Amino acid sequence: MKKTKTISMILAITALTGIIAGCGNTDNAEEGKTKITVWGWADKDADPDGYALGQKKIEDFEKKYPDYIVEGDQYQFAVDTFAAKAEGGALPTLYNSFLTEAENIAKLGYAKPITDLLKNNGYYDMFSDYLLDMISYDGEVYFFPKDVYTLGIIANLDIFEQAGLINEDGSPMVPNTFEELADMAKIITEKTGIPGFVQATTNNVGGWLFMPIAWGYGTKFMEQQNGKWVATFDSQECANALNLIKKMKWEDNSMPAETLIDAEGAIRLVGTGQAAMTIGHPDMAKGLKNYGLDINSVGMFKMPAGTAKRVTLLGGGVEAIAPNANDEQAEAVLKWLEFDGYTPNLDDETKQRIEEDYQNRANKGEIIGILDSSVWSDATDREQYTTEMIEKYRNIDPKNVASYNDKTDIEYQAEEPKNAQELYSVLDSMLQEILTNKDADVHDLLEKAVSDFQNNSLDYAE
Amino acid sequence: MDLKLQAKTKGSKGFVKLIKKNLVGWLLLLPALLCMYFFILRPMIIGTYLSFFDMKGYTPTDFIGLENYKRIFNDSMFMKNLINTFKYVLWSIVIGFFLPVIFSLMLNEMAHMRATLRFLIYLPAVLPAASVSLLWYFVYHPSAGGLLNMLIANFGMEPYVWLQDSKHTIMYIIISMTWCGAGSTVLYYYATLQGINREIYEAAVIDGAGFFRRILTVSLPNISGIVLLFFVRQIIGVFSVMEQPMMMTDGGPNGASMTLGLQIYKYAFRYYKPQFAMALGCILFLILLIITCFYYVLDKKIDKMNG
Repeated sequence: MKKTKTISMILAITALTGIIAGCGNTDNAEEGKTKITVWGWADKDADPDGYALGQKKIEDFEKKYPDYIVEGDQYQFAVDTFAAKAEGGALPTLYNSFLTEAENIAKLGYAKPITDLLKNNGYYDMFSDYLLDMISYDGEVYFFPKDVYTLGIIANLDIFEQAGLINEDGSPMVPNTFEELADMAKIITEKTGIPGFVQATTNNVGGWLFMPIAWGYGTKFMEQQNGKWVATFDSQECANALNLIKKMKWEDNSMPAETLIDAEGAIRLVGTGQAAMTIGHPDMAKGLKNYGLDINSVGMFKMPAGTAKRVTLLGGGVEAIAPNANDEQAEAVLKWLEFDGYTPNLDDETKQRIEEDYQNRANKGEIIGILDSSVWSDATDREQYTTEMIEKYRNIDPKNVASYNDKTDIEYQAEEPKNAQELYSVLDSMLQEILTNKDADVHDLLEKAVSDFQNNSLDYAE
Repeated sequence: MDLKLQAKTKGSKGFVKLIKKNLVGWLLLLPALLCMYFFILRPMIIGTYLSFFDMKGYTPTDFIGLENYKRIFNDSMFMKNLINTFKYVLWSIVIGFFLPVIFSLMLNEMAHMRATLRFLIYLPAVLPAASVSLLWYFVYHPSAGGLLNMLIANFGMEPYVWLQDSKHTIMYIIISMTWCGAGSTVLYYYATLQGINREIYEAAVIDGAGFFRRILTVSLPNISGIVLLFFVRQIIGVFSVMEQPMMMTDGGPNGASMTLGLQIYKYAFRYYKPQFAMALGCILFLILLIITCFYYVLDKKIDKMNG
């Protein structure tokens, strides 16, 4: 009996200490050294080359800066886990996010302000003006932009070929206006039986990808009247943009039966030959290879023009510093970004790392050759060198992406200033209704959408 | 020493005595109690408390009383989502409540292949959620290549859009949930049926009771307790449904399958408004509390009526 009691006691204490031990935290930083953790680390087993490259980078960095310790972290930004990570102080010192989330992150204090750090190191004045606005909140800069992209049309050129939409010189035919896009989608469906165009409609992505169409037709989504934000998209311009989608779906039959899909779903359809075109950004185009589409069959075009203008939405990846990082860690992060080749600085070491990076991407079969926009206000040596590397390791036919890579004759527009995510959600719902209900009345939908957005979101906008 | 203090000392002495009397038992219970406190009780209390605050991220800033609740009630989507949630519950009762009862009775009465059928009924419950979603994605796929569309094509019917038909989206989601969740309920009912004294069945047979009479007079009354318990559990479970509509439709088309549970998720993780998520969570809790109380009152009345 006594023995049983002792064993039970040991079991109970073990279970208890197990719980308490789980709450512990360890930090192995060597004394006197500043330790930072960096997001996006490759998995040792899944991507041994990427992991080895990263570890070598750390080794070289620590050799150059012996006062710093760097540790890789596999963290990748995800909207559903971000707040919990940030609140629990579990973000890596350097983490990634996207311009579309920047305002929320800054507003909630989940990133460390870096205005002084950037000014002291001379980077502040080097950012493009439009970008500086997007990475700032309330007069402070919170993000370091890593890449900037614009939305365009992603195409499966195998289907274009089947539909006879390839020019004599081998280049794909490019839709210059949204009407041309609709016509081409119709031709593709008629000639191949494959839907010519697919529009994402869920996870707020549908609304986000719809913005350039709406802007192109002249839609104004909101404006400030006497200090109050007012939704203004219950307009003929927005109705025209929605009617374009409605016509493609119900009159031209050039959109797929599958409607409730997000951006990944749209890319899957294009990548697997179940749709010919969709709206997206270069990273989405790079995802086509995951669905077996050959690089030579990938095309990317400039956003077509609407009846008002040709405009596209600016997006991009940003780097941020965890709010609990101290100034030494922030300084170390900036050194890391310099070392990693994300500042305009260019020395032989940086050159080597940029080349190694492109080499690794090429080895992995990642599409190289779709050009991003520039983070910096003036052409820099670093940018020129990167362009050289893209040329050197280019694996996509320039003809297939020439339209997207031509950055002339197009306006760039940042996201709407207030409640952008809520707006995308309202637009998602409208797109879903239009694509699932043949008899949907666009004007009625717009009236309700504006009322919902105003009542549920804009009335509370600060 | 005044009386109050005396009583207090006596009370704490009694508590210490109670702990000392079975120290090992309490120690063994402690990890579970701590887990319950940290993962259930504490979040509930803090969530309710924080629902009365304005927040910056997850940090409370100002006490604003019922403002978060007002904002939720003023949200034009709240009523629609509430009605949708009730629709989920109703469909789950129509589809998901009777099916396990029928299956368990079937199993109980079967003489052959009982183990095989039991395995087949329970199989969906052990499949990973991702596999289940993928499976139903193919079942409900709106193209001609969708499993159900291939099936109805054999009868000369045109492909149907299934989940994209906003009038029936909720029903289709409930069918997939029932397919996945009914198996474990069947096992509970079946185990209860197996526990019924066989002599009662024999007596019923001697009295001339046929198959249906046996079920009505012996089987059903004996499992009615657990069936009622699962009825309440099902209402509570389905009332907070979130994953299935999120994975299958994201609440669409045009909010047709949106639920209060999914709205809570979106407030908390998509719009960084945890204060609204907490307030809506409290509203959900209150609704469920009312339903549960109603159930207990009803249950007692039925008991009284049965004498």
